[in-house]
Amino acid sequence: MLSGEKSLLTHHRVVLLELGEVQVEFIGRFRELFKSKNTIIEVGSEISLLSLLKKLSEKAGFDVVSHFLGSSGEPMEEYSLIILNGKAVNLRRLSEYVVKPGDRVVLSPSVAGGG
Amino acid sequence: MKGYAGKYLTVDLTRGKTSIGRVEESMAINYIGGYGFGARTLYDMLPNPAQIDPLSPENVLIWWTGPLAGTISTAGNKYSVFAKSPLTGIFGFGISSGLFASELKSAGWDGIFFTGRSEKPSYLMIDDDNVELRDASHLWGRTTWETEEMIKEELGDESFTVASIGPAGEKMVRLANITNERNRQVGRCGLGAVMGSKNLKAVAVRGTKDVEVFDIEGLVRFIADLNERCQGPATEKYRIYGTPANILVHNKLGCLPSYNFQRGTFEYAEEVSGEMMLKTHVKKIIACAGCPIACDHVNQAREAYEGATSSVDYESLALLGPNCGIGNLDIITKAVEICDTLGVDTISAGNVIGWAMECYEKGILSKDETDGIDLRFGNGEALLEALKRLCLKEGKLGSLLAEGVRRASQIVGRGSEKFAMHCKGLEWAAYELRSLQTSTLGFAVSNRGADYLRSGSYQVDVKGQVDRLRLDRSRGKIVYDGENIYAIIDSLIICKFTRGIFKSVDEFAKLYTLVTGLSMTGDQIIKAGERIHNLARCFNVKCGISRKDDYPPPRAFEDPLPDDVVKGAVIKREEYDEALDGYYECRGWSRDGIPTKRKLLELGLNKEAEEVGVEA
Ligand code: SF4
Repeated sequence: MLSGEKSLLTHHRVVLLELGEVQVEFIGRFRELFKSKNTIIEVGSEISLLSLLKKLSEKAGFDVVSHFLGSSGEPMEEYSLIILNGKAVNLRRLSEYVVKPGDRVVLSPSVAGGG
Repeated sequence: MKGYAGKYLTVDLTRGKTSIGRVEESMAINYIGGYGFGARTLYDMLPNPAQIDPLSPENVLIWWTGPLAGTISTAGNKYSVFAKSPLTGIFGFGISSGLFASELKSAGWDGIFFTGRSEKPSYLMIDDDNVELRDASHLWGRTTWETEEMIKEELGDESFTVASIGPAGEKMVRLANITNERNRQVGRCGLGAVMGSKNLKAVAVRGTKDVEVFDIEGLVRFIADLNERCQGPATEKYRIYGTPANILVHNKLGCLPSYNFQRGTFEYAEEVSGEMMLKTHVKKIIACAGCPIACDHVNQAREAYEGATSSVDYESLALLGPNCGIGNLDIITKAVEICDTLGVDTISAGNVIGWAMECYEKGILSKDETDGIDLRFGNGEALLEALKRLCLKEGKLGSLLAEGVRRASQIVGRGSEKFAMHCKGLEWAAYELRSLQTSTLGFAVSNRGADYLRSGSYQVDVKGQVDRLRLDRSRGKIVYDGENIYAIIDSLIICKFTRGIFKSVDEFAKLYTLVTGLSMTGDQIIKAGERIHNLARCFNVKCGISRKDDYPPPRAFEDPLPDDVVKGAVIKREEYDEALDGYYECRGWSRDGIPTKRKLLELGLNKEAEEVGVEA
């Protein structure tokens, strides 16, 4: 692997990220909304997760943050989930998370369990 | 009191006699319905459960609805069935949806008790007050779907709702379930085998009476509000993809069991995802009575399996798919159809076959012991063949698998017990153990055995509210709170998929009062939840359950997960012990997991305090 590149194994293929990029994957309704399974966002250096969601909003043309926080900022945990490097993000502390180049972010509906 | 029919039917199958019992107001207030009524009556009807062979006529089979069944309440049309489980040997319990519960209530019955054993195959017909045990010899050997059609035809009315067992229940396969309306099951704990042991093939019900509620105007207003909330974000996941949406999420979190829980991710997750299913396999989406959500996704298989249809939810998909190394939706749809028609629980079946595949690959089971089947992970034809044999107890393999994973691993031995994924004999559902550790505590302490439906404790793990790769004492409280709330949900009985639309427990109490007219506060209903849970535990203590049984299988402690996102995850025994201590402390139980006299008396369980309770 070339230095300055990072490999991500997604769905049987390796995506090579340039320096300063974050790959965002989509599951469920986010696939429909973004009409894609994933996208790459240029972040330069470290940015907050909220800023990343705003960049995504600009790219997609709709408010991505509103899928995770309600109108008065309440976490919509029964609705959506963000996975950052394999760990679920606690939406109650969404503003505290930072994303670095090479990180893996997944936007997903929340887990649907127990009938 | 309204909401309840106020009476239950007792059917003595040995003598072919029926009688009527009354549901008292004190029973209603203290135990609500469903799970609560089941816990109360099973405890009372089997005073010495340790001495009862679950497949003998001495076992009882108890069916209960809840106060909401038959009313306009949102997603409240569920019924529950109870017995000493032939799979676990303890409190056996299952819930199903559909129309059956509202028909039973509309016929004027809250519940049905079956005792003894019928001399020949029979089925019970309930047509309002007209109750009849009918010959079922011609139905014996028929699938659940055939049985349903034949009974409706025989009774000359499509509006009868039928709950039946398939050949698996008749043959007393310990994983056998009870099916109503083709796709709805009382799935777990082998209660279909208890029906089979009693020579009871089916129950057919038609009800024409109105179910009265206390405050119809208030109820209509509240239900309109709840139904509107059902169209909101909290239930969207169920409406669009149904529970199969979990496949990709769990895969990303490293908590999708695959290859008999050897891994927490699956390389073909995309191929069996809810997203893929919706595009290629879903034929229709249906709802239970009175449910505005409609989560049930019915699949149609293609290619070699064309013609097979089945309702595929996340658990069935994950256990019969990734857990057996299968990445093909056609095979999974066919596998679920086999389970539904022949009558076994998909979760337990996928789990025990995953175990057998691991045994085979490790050379623990020879080809002779698998009746010549090449039982490798990923071999779809082998999965389907093994399933049929399991359901029909055919050959060496079928007879072994039909025992469930605990007994099968004890029979085979040779180290296979270490990767028999169960707790208290109930096969582990599709939540990985090491990467969802609060969930694992909830599964392991559950009254039913490894159970994802008794506390919902996986939620804090998947929402990132705790470090899911470790445990501490505080997790006990999370499980405790979840169990008490779920005990109410299962007693009212409300579909758990709607739990997100209730703002607090006060709303459960409000719904109860609007329907029944019995006064109830949030605190009282939570207390009832705690009472019900303790009562079921008391039954289990009488069956010999204690701390030693509240542990996950050895793999959770001994085999670190290999998957990238959760690499090395394993449960530390000392952390688990600490979390278990925390749980017992919240419960007011001894360090050995036995309810204390003090706690039981506090809950009004005086008889149980005397019979089971220990000093603190
Ligand atoms: S959410 Fe699904 S399982 Fe629950 S009541 Fe509605 S249709 Fe039935």
